[in-house]
Amino acid sequence: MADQQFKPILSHEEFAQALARGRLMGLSCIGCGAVTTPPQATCPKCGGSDLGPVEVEPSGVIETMTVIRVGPAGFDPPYVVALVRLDDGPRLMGRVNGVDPESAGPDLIGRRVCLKGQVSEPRTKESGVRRVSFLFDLT
Amino acid sequence: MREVVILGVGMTKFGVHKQPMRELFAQAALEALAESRVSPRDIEGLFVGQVLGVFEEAQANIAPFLAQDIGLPRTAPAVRFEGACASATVAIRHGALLVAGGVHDLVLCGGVERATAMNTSLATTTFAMCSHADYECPSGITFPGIFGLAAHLYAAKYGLELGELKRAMAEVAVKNHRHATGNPLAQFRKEISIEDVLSGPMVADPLQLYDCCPFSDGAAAVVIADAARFRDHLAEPVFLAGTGQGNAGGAFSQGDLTLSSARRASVGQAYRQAGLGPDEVDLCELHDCFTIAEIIASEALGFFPDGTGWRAALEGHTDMSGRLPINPSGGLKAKGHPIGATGAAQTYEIVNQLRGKAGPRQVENARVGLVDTLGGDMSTICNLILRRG
Repeated sequence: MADQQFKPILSHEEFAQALARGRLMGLSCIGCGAVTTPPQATCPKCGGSDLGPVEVEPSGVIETMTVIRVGPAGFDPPYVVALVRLDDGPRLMGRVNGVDPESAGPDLIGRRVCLKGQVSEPRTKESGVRRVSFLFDLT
Repeated sequence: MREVVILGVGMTKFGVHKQPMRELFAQAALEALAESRVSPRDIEGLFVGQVLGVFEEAQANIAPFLAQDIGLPRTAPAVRFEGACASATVAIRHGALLVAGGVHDLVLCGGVERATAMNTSLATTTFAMCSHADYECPSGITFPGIFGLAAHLYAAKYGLELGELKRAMAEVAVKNHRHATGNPLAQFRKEISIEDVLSGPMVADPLQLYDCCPFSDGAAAVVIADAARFRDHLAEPVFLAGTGQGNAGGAFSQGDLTLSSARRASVGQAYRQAGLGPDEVDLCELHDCFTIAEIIASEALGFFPDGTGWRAALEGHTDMSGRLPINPSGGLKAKGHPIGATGAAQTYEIVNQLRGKAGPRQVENARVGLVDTLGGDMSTICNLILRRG
C-alpha cells in the first residue's frame, strides 16, 4: 500500500488556493449534512469520511473578540482578533479589519462580518505549506 | 486495573532559576524518592512533562538525560510527554496507567520547565505555537488572547456587565496571591489588591497583567506505585482514585469556549473511575493560567452551575475558608507556571494537603482532592482525583 498516498477530499493547498482567489471552500458531510471549514479528514460532527467539497458563505457574526496588546514575534500589536460564527455554521478565528484597536470593545460582538482571506508564502521555502490568515471586514 | 498509590512528592521553588533543567528536575526527583523511601535504582520508568526545551536550552530528547542525572537503571524507559501546559499531568496519568496495567510496579513522573530562559517575545511566540499552526497562529493570537476571547464571550453569554465580571476575575487573582503567601515554594508571595489588578497594563482585552500567570522555571516529581505491593510502605498512603483526559481541536472548532468541552469529557472519566462526584471533592488545584480560566474551570468541573462561577469567586466560596477551596497553593497565578512542571506541582500540593502537611495553607479534613490541568487553547485537559488512604 506504500504507493497509495492519502489524498484529502479538500487539501490545505486547495483550500489556500481557493481562498487566495476569494472563495471560501469547505466540506459537506454526505451522512449528516454538516458543513466544515477549514477542511479536515473527517466530519467533526458525526465522524463520517464521506465528504464532498462545497463553497461556504464567507459571511457571519462576531461571537467574541479581544485586542492583542502583546503579540508574538513578527506581529504589530495592537490588533483585534475575533471568533466568527459563519452563517453556514463553522467558526473561524481571524483579524478584524477597519476598526481602531484602541476603541474596539465587546460591542463588536454580534456585528456582521465578511471574510477576506489572505494567503502568504510558506514559513520556509522547503515547507511547501502556505500560511492562511482569516481577515474580516465589518459589513 | 490495579489500584495505584502515590508514595512521595518533591518540588523546587518556582520562579527564576539560572541552572539547567537537569538540576531542577534532580532536586525535585530526589526529594520525591527520599520521601517515598525508595532508591533511584528501584525506579522502572520515567515519564516527564517538558514543553519548550528546544527553545529554552536547545535540548530535545531530554528524558534520558534527566534519568542519567538521577541514576535510573538502564532498563527504565525515559519518556518526555508534551501536551502543552498539561504535560506533567499527562505524564503522571500515563505512568499511573502503566502501573495500573501491571507493566511497572514503581515509576517516577513529573515535569520541568525553564520558560524564563526565553525573553518575553520568544516566550510569547513559542507559547502561541500551542495553538493551531495553520488556522489560528497566523491571526496573531496569543494565550492571553484566547482567554480574552473567552472572557468577553462569558460576559456576553450570561448578560454580565464586563466591569462586574472583571471584578470577579480580580478576586481570583487577589485570592490566589493571598493563598501563595502561605507557600514557601511560590514565585510571588505578596498580597495584591483589587485596585492593583484593575490598574495593570492591558495584555489582551479584557485581561490585564494581574489576570495572567507569570513565566516561570521549576520542577516537580511524583513517585507512583502498585498499591498491593506498596500500600503499607508508608504510613500515609494517597490513592490515585481516578484519572481522565480529553481533547479538543483548535479554539475555532470547540464550539462555545466558555464550556471547555474537553474538560467536561476529561473530568467525567475521572469522576466515574473514582466513583465520586464534584460534591465529594474537598479541594481543587485547577488551571488558573488566567483569572477567567479559573472561573470557567470551576463550572466545567461541576463545582458551580454554568454562569455562576464568577459569583462564587466574588462571594469567597473558593477561598481557603470557603465551600470549596480552589488553589490553596496560590495556583498558577501566584505559585508560578513552569508549563511542563505545573501538573506535577498541582499533584504535589494535593498530596501534601491530603497528608495534612500543607502548613499554614492546610485545608481542614481534606480527604479528596482534584487536579485539573489545561494545555494549549483548552485543547488538552487532564484530571486526577486523589484520595487519602
